[in-house]
Parts: sequence; structure tokens; C-alpha cells
Amino acid sequence: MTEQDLIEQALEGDLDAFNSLVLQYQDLAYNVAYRIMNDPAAAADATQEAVISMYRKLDTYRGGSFKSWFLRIVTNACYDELRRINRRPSIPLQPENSEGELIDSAEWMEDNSPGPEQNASNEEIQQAIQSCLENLEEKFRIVLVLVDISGEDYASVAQIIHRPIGTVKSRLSRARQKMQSCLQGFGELLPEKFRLNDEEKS
Amino acid sequence: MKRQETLSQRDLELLNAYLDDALNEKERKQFEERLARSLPLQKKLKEYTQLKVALRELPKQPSPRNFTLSPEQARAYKPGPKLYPAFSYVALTAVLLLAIVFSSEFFFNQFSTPMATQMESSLMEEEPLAVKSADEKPEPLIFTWGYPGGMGMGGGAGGSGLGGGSTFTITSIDETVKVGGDEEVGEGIVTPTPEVGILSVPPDMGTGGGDEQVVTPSPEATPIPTEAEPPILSATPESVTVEPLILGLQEDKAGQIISTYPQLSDQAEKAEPARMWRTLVSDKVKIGLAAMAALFGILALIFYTKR
Repeated sequence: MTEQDLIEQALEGDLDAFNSLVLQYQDLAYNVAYRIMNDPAAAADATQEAVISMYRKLDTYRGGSFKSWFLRIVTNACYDELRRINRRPSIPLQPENSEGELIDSAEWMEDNSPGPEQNASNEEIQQAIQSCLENLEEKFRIVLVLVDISGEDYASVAQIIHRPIGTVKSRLSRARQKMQSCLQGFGELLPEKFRLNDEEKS
Repeated sequence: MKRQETLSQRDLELLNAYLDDALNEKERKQFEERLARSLPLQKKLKEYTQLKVALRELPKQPSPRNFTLSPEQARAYKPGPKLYPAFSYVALTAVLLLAIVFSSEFFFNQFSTPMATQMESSLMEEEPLAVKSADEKPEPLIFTWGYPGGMGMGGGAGGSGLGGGSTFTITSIDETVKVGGDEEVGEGIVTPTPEVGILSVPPDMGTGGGDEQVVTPSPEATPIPTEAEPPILSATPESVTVEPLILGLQEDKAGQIISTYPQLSDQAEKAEPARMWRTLVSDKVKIGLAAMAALFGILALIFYTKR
């Protein structure tokens, strides 16, 4: 069954067809949301909101790339979630035991992923990139994520963010400039390919 | 020494487009020619390529759960009837009705303009009549005593001056002036008349008391015309009873119309409604339509943004 068949059946009220579309795109939606928000829980919330919003707005889909249309809903949901997070006061993580004493290393804080010694270079560069992504302004971050992580072309990104292609080009250019500057700030932590030698710096 | 080439924002945008394969054939060839000659461009391309590859190589995060909707969720999130089109139609209809009402009233009043002008002109014609009638009205007299001794003297059996219980009747300047009555002559209504001047009463004329005094015009009681004051004693053929007299009015007020009847301002006020905007539909209906347009417009906007 093609994507278009699924869309038509979903439009007729077939929930299974709709859920098939969700399963087809949920990983992409979650990853985009995760890179935009840098928070698994917030990314999951944004993805769920996007799915609900897609269900409600399905009749407004007017053809074209369904993926772009859905990613537009996802980015809007991310914007909303980011605004909601910014309004909500942050609570510092202070794990306590049953007696109210602070715990040095709570079980839920353990990182079960491979340690730095196992995959040092990859971890470092991923952390550096994620950190730099987080420091980017939302409008630059979303364009960079859509182009470089999600693999969308300029026209699709323009459709997703509802801006002209010229805006996409300029935002992407600035986003990469800022990312490059940010990554250089990590200096020796990064693999050699991300460092500029003295000759290049001059 | 070769000057260091600086890259503009436009260069960087072209570089990004080249990297993302977003240039057409012609643009790509032109850029490649330039890239072959430019070391800064080559360096930047290398940096951006590494960055792009690094971003692409970021590990994909598996979805923590399925985001599919259960039948219960689907029922809960089922889109309701779309109310915003209906609301927007109602708001639009109300606005159109308002526009029709106002434009109809505008054209109605435009066509009625000649009639209004006619009414205005008739009013303009009436105004001189009003002035005329004011002129025809018997005017109050300004009475100035020629001698200080004549002012307020009297009362009872006062020897000089006009006062006391006398009545004071002026028939004309050439006729008998009666002085006497019960009221003290101290004040009076003062209105100038063009025919006569100030009546001077010599002190010896004043005979107070309750007796009726007859003042016969004589050389002693002749009008004294002044330049500053207009003539103030009316020489009307019939007798005029002056009660009471006001003395000492400001000279610069002499000769002015104190009041007319009917009042000119009253006429103007009565004429005003004829020149006002005439309405075809009551204000309540207009307010209702405006309120409906505003209410349903806001509702349509709310439902549109929340859809």
C-alpha cells in the first residue's frame, strides 16, 4: 500500500491507516525533535503533540510531500514545547534518599551508554556538536537540523518553516558559521579534522 | 605580498548551496571555476563538509515509544465541527449589512441635501424677521437723571427729586410727564431710543409725596443729547409706565439689543435637527450588527487559531 493510499484511507477515518503513517515517520519526527530540543522527554512530548495535531489537521493536507508537511507540524510542536519549557521554571536535579539526604550518584542518573574510554572521539564530537547545536538560535538550529540531520532539500525546508528559499540559504549559512566557530572553541577535545592548524588560522 | 581574500556572506551562501547540491548546472560550473582559484573557499568548503558529515553521523535516536493513537485517543482528539467558517460568514454578513445601512443613509442624505438647503435658506429669511420683531417691540427706557438731586430723593414728602410714592408717567417729550406712585424711583429698565435724548429734571421739579405730579415739558426739562450716549427717552405717542427703572448702565451697552423674542438661538436650535444626519435604521440595530460582527469575528479567529 502506497503512502498516498494510506493518506486517503486516513482521511476517510481509517485509524489503522493513520497509525501506519505515524509508524513510518515517527523515528524521523522524534530525531528532529530530539536534535532541536536536546531533551528526550521534551522531544517525545513534541512528537506526540505533532501526531495528535496531524490527526486533527489531516483534512488540511493538500497534497505534495507528506514528509515535509508532517515535519512542519513537528517543528511547530517543537517551537510550542520550547516556549512552554521557557515559561516553566527549571527545577535543579537534587536526588534525595527516603530520609531527604542528597545522593551522590542516584541510580537513575547512571549513564549506561559506552563510556568515553570506549568510544572517546565519537562521544566527544557528538557532545560538542550537540552542545553547539543547543547554543544556536532556534531559527538557525531548525534549518541546520532539517538540512544536515534530516536531509531535507532547501525547497522542503522553505515549505516546512514557511519562509522563502533565500531565507533558508542565509539561515543555513549563518548556522554553519556559528557551528564552526563553536566547534573550534572546543579545541583539543575534538578530533584533528575539526581543528585548524596554525597555518590555517592565519 | 598577495592580499588575503575575504569571503562575503554571498560567497558562503553559494558555498553552502554547492555543498548541498542546490546549485543549477551553470551556477555550479561558475562556482567550481572560482573554487579552483580561491584557497579560502577551498578551506571553508573543507570545514563545512566535515561539519555536515559529522552532523549526518550523529547517532539516530530510537523512538522511546510508539506515538500511534489508540481508538480512545482518536475519539478524544477527533476534530469537531469546524465552527470558524460559520462564524466568519456570520461576521462577514453583519459587516456587509452595516455597510449597506451606512451607504444607504449616506446616499439618502446626499439626495436630501437640496431640501435641507432650502430649509436653511428659509430659516435665514426668518432671522431678519426676528430682528425686525425685536425692533418693533416697545423698548425699555434708559432714564438718566440730569441732576444728582433728582436721584433717589424723595420718599414720603420729599421736597425735591422724583421719588417717594410717586408714579412717573411719560407720554411724550412734548407731552405731560407724570411723576408719582408708591414706589421709589431708583431703578429702571434702560433701553435707548433714537428719537429723544436725556430727560433732565431740574431739582425744583421734584415734588415728592403721594401727590400726582405733572411734569410739563419746559426749557428746564429738555433732552440733553450726548455723543457718548444715544438718546434714551422714548417719545412714543402712548403713555409708557416705567417700572422699575435701572440706572447706571454701562454706556458701551447702549444701543444694543438686550433680548428678542422668540430667541434667535431658540430658532437655531429648532432648525438644527433638520440639518442633522437622518437615519434610516435605528441606532440599536446598527449597534447590534456591529456587536455581532465583532463577536463572531473574534470567535472565528479563536476557532481558526485553535483548529
